[in-house]
Parts: sequence; structure tokens; C-alpha cells
Amino acid sequence: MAISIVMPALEMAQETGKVISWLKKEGEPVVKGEPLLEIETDKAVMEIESPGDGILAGVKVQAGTDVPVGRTIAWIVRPGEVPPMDEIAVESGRKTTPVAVPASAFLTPGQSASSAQPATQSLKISPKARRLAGERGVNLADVRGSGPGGEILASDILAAAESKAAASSAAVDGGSSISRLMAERTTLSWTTVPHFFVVSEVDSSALNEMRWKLGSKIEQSCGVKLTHTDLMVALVARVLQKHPRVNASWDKQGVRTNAEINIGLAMAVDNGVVAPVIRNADKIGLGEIAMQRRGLTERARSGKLRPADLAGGTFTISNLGMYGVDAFTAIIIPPQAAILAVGRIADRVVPVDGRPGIRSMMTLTLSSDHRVVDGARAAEFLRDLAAAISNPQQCFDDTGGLGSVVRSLPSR
Amino acid sequence: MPETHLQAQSDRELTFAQAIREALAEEMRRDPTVFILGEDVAEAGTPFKVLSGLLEEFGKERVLDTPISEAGFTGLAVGAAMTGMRPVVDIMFGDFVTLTMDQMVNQAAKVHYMSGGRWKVPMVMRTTMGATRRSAAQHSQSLHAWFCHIPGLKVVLPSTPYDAKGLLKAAIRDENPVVFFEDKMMYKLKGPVPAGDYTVPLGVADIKRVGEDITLIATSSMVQVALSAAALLEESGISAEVVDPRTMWPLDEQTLIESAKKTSRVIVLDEGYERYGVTAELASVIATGAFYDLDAPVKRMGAMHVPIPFSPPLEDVTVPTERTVFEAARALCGR
Repeated sequence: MAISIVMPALEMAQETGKVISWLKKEGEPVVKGEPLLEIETDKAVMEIESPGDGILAGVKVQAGTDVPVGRTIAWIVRPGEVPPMDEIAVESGRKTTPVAVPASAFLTPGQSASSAQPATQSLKISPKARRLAGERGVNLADVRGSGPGGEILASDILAAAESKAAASSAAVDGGSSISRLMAERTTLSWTTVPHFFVVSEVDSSALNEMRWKLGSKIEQSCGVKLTHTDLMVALVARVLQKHPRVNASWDKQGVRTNAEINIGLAMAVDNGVVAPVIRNADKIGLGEIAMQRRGLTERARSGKLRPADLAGGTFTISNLGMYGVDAFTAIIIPPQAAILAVGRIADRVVPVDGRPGIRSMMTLTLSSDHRVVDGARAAEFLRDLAAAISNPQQCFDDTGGLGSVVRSLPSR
Repeated sequence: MPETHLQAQSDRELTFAQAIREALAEEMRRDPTVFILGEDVAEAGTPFKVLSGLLEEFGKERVLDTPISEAGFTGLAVGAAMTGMRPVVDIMFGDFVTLTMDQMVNQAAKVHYMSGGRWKVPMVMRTTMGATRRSAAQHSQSLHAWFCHIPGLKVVLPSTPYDAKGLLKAAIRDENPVVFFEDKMMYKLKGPVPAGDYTVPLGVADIKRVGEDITLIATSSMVQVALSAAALLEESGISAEVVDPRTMWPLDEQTLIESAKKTSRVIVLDEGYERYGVTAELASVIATGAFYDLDAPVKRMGAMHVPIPFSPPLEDVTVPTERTVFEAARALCGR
């Protein structure tokens, strides 16, 4: 019985994976667990292991091509066995012998979803536009027509070809799909998620002290430098326990509360930004958070993030303080309900006991999805977070472990 | 085009009617076999006064008034042409060409072919076309498409005084029958016309205005309508090219197709009935020759499929105007 090798979905929102290289040749014997090929998902490179013993056969996809998740890309067969018929041929009812199907013949799930309607309505396109699309390799499913009746015109094709050229030249610069994914996801989020923003200025003097106080201990015990980001992850996670709605997600059915608090950390990489996740950040100590954060940062920089590193985030923190930014607004990563934008910590003149005083201040901006979080809920969360930042010691014990207040919170 | 340079260089202005008269006079001086026949052509100089003065110069032997008998004197012209003369037949209103159809379609158009090339019929039929003169349904039609349908006939539709003179001289010198349509509403149109001899070859289109966004292919007085519409379009930021085929047959397909390829959008304008008319043929030329460069369907604009009404408000909406062309062009450009 032949076993199919399928392009796996390693992340929730993954649409395609790219075959980077085959580690086994067609016809070569393989044993279960042996690496068969390397794939690149939108955010990571990883190896796919053989699901069984046998011979690699029916390789349909060459290195360098994108394949929709769920598509069979090869088979593991017994000696002498012929790989089953090509799936596409079977689906379309044609009796053909298995042939290699070029990846360009596949519609990605995104394309098929967006083009489903136009395809059934018979696409209106001018003869010139159709010719240009053929000449420039523009996929008509990706083009929105600007004609008087929504027809696709030559100018639409030229614009699409131009943006495609721009995108491919960017890909050449970066050699990765991160920039393309970032463009897709931020556009989707910004255009479909009703964002609103609440801003709060917070006295971070106590947080700074906490960092010095616990930093050396954690460096000794865990061998990692404690950062403000680590403290923010820990504080945010602990405050989120009291605000399950801010930790929730929007899906088709409505608001879905998440059992876990998994904090994504926005990180700049060569071609854009990724947000690897510290899982259950409310249940681990500062030292563990710092170690995980360091591991994620290193893997992100070297392009070695694993799909698991990127999966499952329920809330994201984006910190641009190190760039000297006072404050900014961040774009939500769907289906998460909120993202916290952290500005720099800077000395400010503020009223202290009725007189001007100098305090270390920090501006927090919470972007929320109004379908999940309303203004009052966002404000309450930010208020509690500000309180935790100005009085962080109650959240931790003296080694950076879980503080008494946190432990006393009822578990959900 | 050389003749366009001439046109630009001439600072002498003539009306369309004067240009026609000058062409006839010059050809009659040049060639004694050229003569004119038709109703009210001599003393009256036609109701439109196009031929005024020719009787005085050339005498009644060469400017012949005929009875009201279009079939008869057209047949006379066919015979005269076959036997060495170069008659110019005047059919006062284009509506009456219907009476000449047997002579034109079955005789004039066929003789050269059926004689194996031994007989020639170097005749010109001049006649009128064009609506909006309040002349009612029997004196307002543009029936040039009838002749365009017949192999063996050449059909000329000048749109400017310059073209009128040059094309009429070329038509008179042609060795076989040419039907020459003058829009009666253009007789007073003024334009530069060089003195002296020049011809405009049959079968060469003229780009009357250079543009980028849309091509208006227009014939006869519709060229003037197209030029006015193009000026309006320019104010809306649409650059319209106006192309005048000048002769329906022979037809300069290449120039039309090249313009269509350049702009990707085409409106074809002609004052004949739109249905089964000249616009259909020209649109087909474009659709075939420029298909893969078209960004919109080819739009046809001609006379409505109704008898041309006498009622001025009704008559005015039966044929394309600068306003309707302007709006059609904007719609086609999606603006």
C-alpha cells in the first residue's frame, strides 16, 4: 500500500510550502523517520521525514516550486509497486497515467477562494488585457478589473505585472517569502480587522529597578541577560489572566477565548517581521522567559525558526523602544484580538506629589480588534498592566518566579 | 503625408463647395473629355450653388441640364464613359441614387470585368448625403453603403475642402466608376485649399488629429463632429485620435488598424444607417486586425434605424453629434 507524502500544514494560516530540496532521489529506498526533503513554509525551513519504509516514487514537484498544503508531492511505495494515479487527474475524471504536474498548474487555496466567484461568472477581460496577461505571466485570478463593468483592462494587467515585478525583485533581494507574507497578512488585518487604539503613559521606574535587581540573579542562574521585553512578556501574561477577552481570538463563529496565554514577540528579520511565541508565558518564571526569548531571537536571525515557534500566539508584544521610538501603533496579527506597542523608556518631567519631578516613563499603545475587545475592556487591561508595571514586585518572587499575587489568582 | 503638408502650407481658404467647383473647372480645362450632366446643373448651378459659373466658362455642351430621369442620364453617362468621355454625373439628392442602381451596379460596375478589361468606365457620380437640413425622409439619407457593397465601384467621402478638391480630381482621372458623396451640410465649411493642381490618392486614410486614448474613425461630416468631440474630450483629459478613411473603397485598412492598436479603443462614426452600414464594415476591420490590442468593444455610431424625420428636434437625435460622441467616448474610456 503506497503512502502519500503530503505538503504539510505546519502553521494555522499556512497556504503553501516550497520544496527547497529533495534529500532522497526518486527510486531510492527510505526507512521511516529518514529525512526526505526540505520545505520552506512562510516562516521557516524544515525537513519532512518519511512516514514509512519503502521506495520514494512519483515525485511530482521539483525543488524550488510552491505547493498548496495538503497536496500529494510524492509517494512511498513497496518494491515493484506503481504509485497511484495523479490526484488531479483522478479528480477531473480523466484517465491518465501519472505525470509530473508543474506547480504552476496548481491554484493556491487563497487563489481558489478569491477567484471562485469570478470564475463562475465568466471573467470579463479585454482581448488586449488577455494577451498582455499571457505575455507577462499575470494570473488573471489575482487581477481586479477597473473597466466600466468591472472588466479587466490592459492597464490592470500592466499594473499587476509591475507589482509582480516589484515583488519578485524584493524576493530576489531577500530570497525569502517573509516579505510577501508580511504584505499579505498586514493588508488582510488592516483592511478586515476593525482596529482601535488606547494609549497610556506608564511610570517604569520600578520596572527598571526590578530589571537590575533580578537581572544579575537570572544571569547567574540561567546564563541569559534579562531584558525589558522579558519583563513585559511576564507582566502582560500575568495581567492577561485577569482579562481573558483581551487574550481571545476572533473566528467565524465569533469570540473564542483561549485556554493558553501564548505571547508572540514581534522581531525584525532581514525581510520583514516575524512573531515567534513564548507559550504559557503566564505559568513560567522570568528566567525561563528570557531563555526562550533568546532562543527565538537567535533562530529568527538565522532564519531557522521552526513552525512550532511561530504557532499558537494569543497576544503579541511589539517593542520598538530600542530604536528610540516614543510611541507607535501596531497592526493586529489575526486571529489575535490585540497587540501591544511598547515605546522607549525615557526620563520625563512629570508631576510628583504636586511638583515637577523626573521619572522614567514609557508609552504603551494597545491595538484591539473591536469585534472582540471594546474600549472599556481595552482600557481596563491597560490600567491593570500599568499598575503591574509600576508595582512589578507583586508579580514575581525574588528569583523572578511567579509572585504571590499571581499564584493567588483563580485558575480559569 | 505630402498632401497634409500642402494643406498646412496653404493660407488660401475655400468653402467645400468652392473646392468642388475648382476641382471640376481645373479638370475640365485640363481634359476636354470631362463634362457634367444632371438636373439643374447649368443655369441653376445646382440648388446648392456648387456649380455656379461653370456654364459660363464651359458652355452648355459640357454642362448639360437633363430631364428628371436619373436612370436615363446615368445610363447615358455609362455609355459616354465607355466610348471615351469622362462624364461627371450630378445626382442632386443622394436619396435618388436608388433610381440609378441598375446602371451603376449592373452596368458601370461590371463592364470592365466582363469585357476582360477591354472596356473602361471612367465616370464619376457626384451626389449628396447628410441629415439635419430639415429636408425630411426622402432628401436626408446617406446611402453610400449601397455602393460600398458592390465590387467594381469606388466610393469617396471627403470631409474637408482640401480633401474634396484633391479626391475629386483623382476620381475624375480614375479609369473606372467612382461615386463621390458630398455632405450637403458641409458646402459652406471653410478650409485651406492650395491653388493649382494636386490630387489625393484614393485608398489613403488621413489622421486628422493625433491622440493616444481613443480612436474616432469618422467619415464625411462625421469627421468634423469627431474633431469637435475630440476637443471636448481633451478638456476631460482624454486624448482622441481622429482618423478619416476618406475613401470607403479602396479602404486603407492598415492606417485604421494601426491607430486602433495604438489607442486600444475605437468608435466608428458614419452618417449612414448604422444597421448593416459602413460602421459595421469598419468595426469588423478593426476587430479582425486589432483584436489582441483592443481594450474595449468597438463602438458603432450611425443614423438611427428610422426614416430621417422632418421634425427638427427628432431629426437632431437621429444622427451622431459632438455631444453623443463625447459621451460615448467617455463611457468607453471608463471616465
